[in-house]
Amino acid sequence: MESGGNTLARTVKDLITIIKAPSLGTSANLLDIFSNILTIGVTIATAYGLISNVGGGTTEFKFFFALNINFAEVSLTFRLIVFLISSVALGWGLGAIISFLTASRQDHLTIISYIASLLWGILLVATADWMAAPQAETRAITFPLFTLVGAGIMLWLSVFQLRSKSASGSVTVATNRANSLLAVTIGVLFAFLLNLISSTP
Amino acid sequence: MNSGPVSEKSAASLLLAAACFDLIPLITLTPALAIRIETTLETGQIEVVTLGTLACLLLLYWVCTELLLGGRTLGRFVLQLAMIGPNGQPATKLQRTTRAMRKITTFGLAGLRFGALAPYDRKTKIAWVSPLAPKSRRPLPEWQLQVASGPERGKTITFGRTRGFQNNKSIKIGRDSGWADLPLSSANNVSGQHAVLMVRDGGLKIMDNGSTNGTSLNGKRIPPKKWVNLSAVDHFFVADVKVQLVR
Repeated sequence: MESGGNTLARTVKDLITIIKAPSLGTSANLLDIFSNILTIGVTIATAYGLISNVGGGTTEFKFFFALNINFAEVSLTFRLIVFLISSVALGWGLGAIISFLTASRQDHLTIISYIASLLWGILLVATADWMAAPQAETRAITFPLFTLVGAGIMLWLSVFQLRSKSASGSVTVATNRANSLLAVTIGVLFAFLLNLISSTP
Repeated sequence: MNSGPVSEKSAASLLLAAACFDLIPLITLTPALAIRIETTLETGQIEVVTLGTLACLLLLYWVCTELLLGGRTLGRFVLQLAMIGPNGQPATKLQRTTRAMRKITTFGLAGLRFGALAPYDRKTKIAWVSPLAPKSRRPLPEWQLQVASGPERGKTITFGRTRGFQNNKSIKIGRDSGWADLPLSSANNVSGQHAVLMVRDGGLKIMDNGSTNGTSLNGKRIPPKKWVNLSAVDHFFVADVKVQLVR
């Protein structure tokens, strides 16, 4: 029987291998590098947005050039464009993560894939909440709309990513990937319902 | 579309995911409609009206998507999931209608299953195709058997390099190293001549050779001396030893 320390060490080692995998780390393809940088950048930005939302209750977004944007005052078009870019990046990243974590058919990595998928779904709803701007008057319409469109884009792109990797898969891998996509939608639905309940007066 | 038929477990998970996605617009519409209905009826029971509205919206959504749109829902569209008939062709109108009627009469509750398709899918012999379906691009001689548990864990054989496959397209598994193409000499629970894999009728099949501890597929022990299809599985157990089939 493996000890907890050994299992943890093996998990960390597996994760390092995944990070070093060609299309995430040392890809020679320029498009891959660009999409990976975009994915990582937007994921960090959305996570930052989530934390700032939860922590301060504000919707300020401080980016590299000391930009201070209050999303309640920004036009819907701009918010929609930023959200669409975020959804594309999240979807692409989710596809890559599910693909690599499930490919090895190791139980502990598959469980990490389910947890990551669940968190990704919650992250998307948090991004939709952030971009829908709680103070804006149109929020009752924009938040569900952003969630629906964002989740749709994210799921479609994830399946698109997994489609290109299915040649190396097996029945178990396909099942694990389907379960991960189920975890994403559960995460989205759970966070969406929580948000609706908490915002109901 | 670059899709193939997915296993029952995968299809069940993807259908549940699509259903979760479809709930988002319905849940959004429900409170606004429920308030209007409540204002008109003045029942004083907003919770009951909300639940009733959601149930009515669900039924309306199923009638529209399953009957009028041929099984195309928002969730299935984003997950690129489509239904096919038993012969691999698109499902006929009769099959789709029968399925939809069975689904509506059970109010979709029979579909809330994890790991298995709903009875209405089984009865109408509907299958599901998705881009997630595994695609084998390797020819049969390059397929491998990998021992995934037990003392011989890690041992791998390639079909085309075994004597049995070269002679009569069969792979023998057992403890007897003189007989087996995949010898498991250190696995005490495995019988000497445990099981045989063979290409028959264009597909890979397995037969338990009357072993003491049996051969299992999907958690069920297969009957001895009978050929069982291996097309929809990627691993099996000879006694307590897990053997992975790498296509």
